[in-house]
Amino acid sequence: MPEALRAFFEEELVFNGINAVTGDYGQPPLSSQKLARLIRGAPSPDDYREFVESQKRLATLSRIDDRLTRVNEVQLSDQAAADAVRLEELRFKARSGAPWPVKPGAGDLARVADVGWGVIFPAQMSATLQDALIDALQPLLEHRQSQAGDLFRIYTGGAAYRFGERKDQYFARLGVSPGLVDPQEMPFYLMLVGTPDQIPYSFQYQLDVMRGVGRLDFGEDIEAYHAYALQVVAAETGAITLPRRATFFAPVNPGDRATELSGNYLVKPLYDNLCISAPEYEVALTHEWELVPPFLGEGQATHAHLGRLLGGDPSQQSALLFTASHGIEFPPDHPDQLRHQGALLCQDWGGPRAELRRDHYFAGEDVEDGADLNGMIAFFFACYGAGTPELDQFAAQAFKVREKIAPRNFTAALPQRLLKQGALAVLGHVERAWGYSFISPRGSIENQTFITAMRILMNGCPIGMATDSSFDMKYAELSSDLSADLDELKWDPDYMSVYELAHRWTANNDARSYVVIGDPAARLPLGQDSRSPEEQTGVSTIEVPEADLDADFDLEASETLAMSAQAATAEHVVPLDLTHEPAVVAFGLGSQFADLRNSLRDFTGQLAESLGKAAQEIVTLDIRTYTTADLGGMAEALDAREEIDATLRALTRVEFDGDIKMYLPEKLEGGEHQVLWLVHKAMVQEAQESRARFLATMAELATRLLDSLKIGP
Amino acid sequence: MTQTALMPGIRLTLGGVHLPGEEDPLGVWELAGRDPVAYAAGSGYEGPIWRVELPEDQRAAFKDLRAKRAAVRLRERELERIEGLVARLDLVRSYSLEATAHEDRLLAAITALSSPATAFDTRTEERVNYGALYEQCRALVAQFQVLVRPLGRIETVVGGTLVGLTAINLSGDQRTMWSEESAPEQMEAHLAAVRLAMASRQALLRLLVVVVTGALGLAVKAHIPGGQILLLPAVYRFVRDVLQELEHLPEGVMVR
Repeated sequence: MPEALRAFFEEELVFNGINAVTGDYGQPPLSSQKLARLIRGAPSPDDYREFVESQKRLATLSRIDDRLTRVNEVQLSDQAAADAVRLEELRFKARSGAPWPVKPGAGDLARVADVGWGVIFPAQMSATLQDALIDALQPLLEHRQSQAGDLFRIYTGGAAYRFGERKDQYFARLGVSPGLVDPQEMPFYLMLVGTPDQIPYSFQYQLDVMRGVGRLDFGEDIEAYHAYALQVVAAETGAITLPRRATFFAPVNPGDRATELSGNYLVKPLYDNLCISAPEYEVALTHEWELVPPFLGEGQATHAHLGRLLGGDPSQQSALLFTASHGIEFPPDHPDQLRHQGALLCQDWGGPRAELRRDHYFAGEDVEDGADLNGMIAFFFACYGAGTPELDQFAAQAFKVREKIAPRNFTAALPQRLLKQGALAVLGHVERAWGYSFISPRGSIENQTFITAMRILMNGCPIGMATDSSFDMKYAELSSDLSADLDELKWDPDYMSVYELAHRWTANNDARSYVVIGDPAARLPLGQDSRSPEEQTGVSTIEVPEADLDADFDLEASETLAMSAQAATAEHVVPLDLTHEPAVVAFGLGSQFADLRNSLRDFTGQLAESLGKAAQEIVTLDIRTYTTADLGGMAEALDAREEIDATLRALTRVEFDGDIKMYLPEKLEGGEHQVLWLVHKAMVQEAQESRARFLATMAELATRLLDSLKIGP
Repeated sequence: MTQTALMPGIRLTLGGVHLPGEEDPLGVWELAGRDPVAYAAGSGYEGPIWRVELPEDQRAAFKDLRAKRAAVRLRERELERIEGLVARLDLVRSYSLEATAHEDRLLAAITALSSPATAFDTRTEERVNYGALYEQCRALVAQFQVLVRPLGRIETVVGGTLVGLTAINLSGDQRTMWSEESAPEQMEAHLAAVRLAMASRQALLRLLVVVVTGALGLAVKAHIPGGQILLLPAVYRFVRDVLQELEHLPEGVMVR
């Protein structure tokens, strides 16, 4: 696998953002060599020319006049000073041997009672709005205060965040020490309330290095704040309990390397890893989880299906949803930018150079009004999936200009919408997401941050804790390393390869920009102590997902099977004649090879017969559950192909058109019956998934065998 | 292929199926032929039978079953890579330093078949004994046939007692029978056994696709008449050997 992965670095690098107006990549593909020049702040004249040309093209799409502003010396100097402070803290975190960034003895990071909780308001916010928001959030504030006791804080008035302050300046003003968190000075969990224009992303990133930070931003929608507060309290007081079920959604758009990477090298391995409860050197899962196989690529990761996962079909809703896709971006000041930027591009898009339509991407307004997302947490790996800054950091570093990519900093509409519909939090990306961040230049997969974050979330820990030991730690390590590397490269151009530099920079950039939308102390409402009957049987209470048995798929499968079966009949097969092959003749094995050919033909014939039978029977899928006093006798009856003498307790028939009919005894009572029914439903789900995959593979095998029989000596 | 470690008291057997070397290429099931596995031995049942035997306290064993299922899925996914390896095999690179030992063996088999004159060259490990090769091919095809027989079943035995039995057919219909005494934990264990068996059946079928496709591609590439059949054993061995390498790495690392 290393060779295949390394090839991605040797080709042009493609990024996870698609411009909705041009239908092309938001950031044009770059070679590793060119990216390395830009990272080092040493572009070639050609790089400048290309940049200027691309800006001219984009300027025609934008209504902003001062799109590019040259960075002056004073700004550069200020930036260098801020970077020095930032790096010092990142190095501290990277070197720290402590598993969590709190002072020893502070207690359990998962407990708000031990490490505290606070809310920071911006000084820029009007007093009227601030008071209204505090009132709206009162249920949540009271709840957190009851948990945190004297480690509860509200930062308003003189303690509010003042626009333009760096974290070190803010801390100095409040008398908070840098380094390991002392919850008495400032709590570990901090919720920012307000827009990123009031409390900028740069402050959030830095605060997040050593703390669990989230942002609540519904603009001036007071009711939304109040509903969210009630929702979190309901989730933490037992009013909402979700089954342990996680779903993965990953488009792989045709001809698009970015989603090919994220689908095959992020989502698939992540899913596989999480299927194992306690791999070595990983956070062990404390409970069994139902992991729905990823909705990946063609026919799976569609706009329609994402709608079903996000409330359109309650039977398919999960506690935890992970998506990896392109995020949509717009030119600054485009009328749709604030509503649609960061929307998730689905499989419906035909790939680079194909038309991009509105129904190809999933935006906040696509979540149905009645969607019930109570208690869920989503993780969006996509450009701008969580938000967009006003100014692009990349251009500043590469070309010493500040490029305006939005009229202002803003939070993406999709996460806001999810929280309004009951979700507790969304973990997503601000700015561009860089797919190459989870692949090393040596070609190995480096997705440990995703694994760690997901495992901590799945164990019911706060989302702010999940990001701290994953993305925040990676950011700290990579950033301090990258800084040293760039210094060294000034003296020794051969210090590291362009591939390594490109990887380190994209990974650093990527790790920095993951943010939590919502309360950072929010956690999945999974139930803490007792295990429900569903958990004891390892099945979910969710109804049999009818959509899993997609009628179109079955139709297609049926036709494929029928064609394979027909094609595999003897008259369609060109006989394989090996009897005149020289070696065969020489050794006198002609008749044996004829036998061999016949045995293979028999096999193909048997396969064809089976496929033909399956094609006839595929119109229904029957799953029956019986009980019997003599199970051993049933095995003997099966062996003898005799009728079985057992009591039918449940029958589910999945019809060709996707309808599901369930037959149950009239009286279904008692705990044992309940368990039997739950296991039966799990068997139905297993049967549906197995059949589709098995028959498709059988058809493929038949096709390959036919090919084998068609060619001769 | 060696079986990966299971906790004491667990036994996973696959009966009614023979494969080369009586080894499960997925490294999960112990191939037990026919008689030791069937619950009602000696009867006329002819499909594959997956049997999961667990100790009385099956809670811990249940986790092993889930881990095994994940391992099977990993191997199925690995087959995609192996299919690519076979398809990209560089025939002129034979015996080069870059080739792995498995590739060397496969290349030697191809060389021997494509150049009968070298068949008895002592340098070639894969001396062509057509009689033996014929037997191998015939046996392999016969073994493949068992996997696509119309019926199959899964049995779960806890503490020596059969607690759950599921019969399946090719179109996916299932009949599950429980003992009236089956406890919820035992049902959970059988559900895990069914999932593991279905994943294994799927992976084995996928392996057949890779073997048949690989042999066909190599036969065409190397211009070996009839190679699409004659190379089946060599390609099967190659696939099995590469899969076996997965056994040497911690699963937690591999599935990232």
